[in-house]
Amino acid sequence: MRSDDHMESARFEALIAAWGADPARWPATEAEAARRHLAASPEAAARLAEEARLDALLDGVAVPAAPAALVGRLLAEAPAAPAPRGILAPLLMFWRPASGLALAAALGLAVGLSGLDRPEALALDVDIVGFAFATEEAEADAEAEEADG
Amino acid sequence: MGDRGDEDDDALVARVAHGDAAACRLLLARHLGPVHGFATRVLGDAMEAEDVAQEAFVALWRRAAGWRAGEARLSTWLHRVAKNACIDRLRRHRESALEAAGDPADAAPGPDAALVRDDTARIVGQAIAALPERQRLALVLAHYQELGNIEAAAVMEVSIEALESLLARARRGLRAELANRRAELLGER
Repeated sequence: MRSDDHMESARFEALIAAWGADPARWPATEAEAARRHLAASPEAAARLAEEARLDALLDGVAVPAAPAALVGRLLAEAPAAPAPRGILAPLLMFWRPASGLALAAALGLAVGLSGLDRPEALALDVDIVGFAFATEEAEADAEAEEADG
Repeated sequence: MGDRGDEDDDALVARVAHGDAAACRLLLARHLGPVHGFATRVLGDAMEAEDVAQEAFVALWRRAAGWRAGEARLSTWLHRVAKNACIDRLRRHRESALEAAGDPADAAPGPDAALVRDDTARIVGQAIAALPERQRLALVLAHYQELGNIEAAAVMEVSIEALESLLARARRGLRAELANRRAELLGER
């Protein structure tokens, strides 16, 4: 990244042409130099106002919130808690399917009524992004390291 | 639903892996809105945007046990999965348009009529929808998603300089398109 001490007009122009007029969107390493350039240059202030007008037009395009039915579908897809263990396990094993059926019935009714029941949407064909997830090889390496250590 | 601000995303993902429904709800409260909004703006279609958001979170649920804390921000990961899902759908749209022997020059989706009520917003939304795919993705990430430039570049899988170039072209294209439709924007047509 560039020095934070000084900013040429051309760089200021390129900065606001890409990131717009709001300093919160500018790269942190250049924001202070850009502010100083702006304070010292009436031309820069005029250009900033042009970009601010485009920002305002973009801000005017709103989108609706995620529907509640989507939250319900995602909670229904969430991982289940592991089976209970211990002395109360038989009781809980009896209880959980009953509560699960009740929840499924309630969700099914809600989704059905909302007209948003689209089973095909549950198919997972997304190109899964693997970064930040442990791979089987990495897990095997970690286990081997632990064993070696 | 109350968001426990003292618990970070990594801790919540670990709880999700153990079947903790409260952790799922907290993650949805934090991230579903932004991911759904991102897909809606990129695709211009409410139903497809729901599908993309659903795919991103179902992918997270299924892989929660393998999440490596501190390696990436969850918001980056979710946006990247959503971006890839959006690109898949946009490509399918283009292929469908070509197969239909239609008009390949206008394969970009328009904003869903139900999403825009105001004339100015409708025109600006159409101008965004008409941008080339990568420029539109970059603009939506940088302007609407509050990710910061480093995270937005990571979602796009490009350098910050390359993201800046995409953004500059996107904003230039938007300005040109809106200038062409100035009369409409001023309500003269």
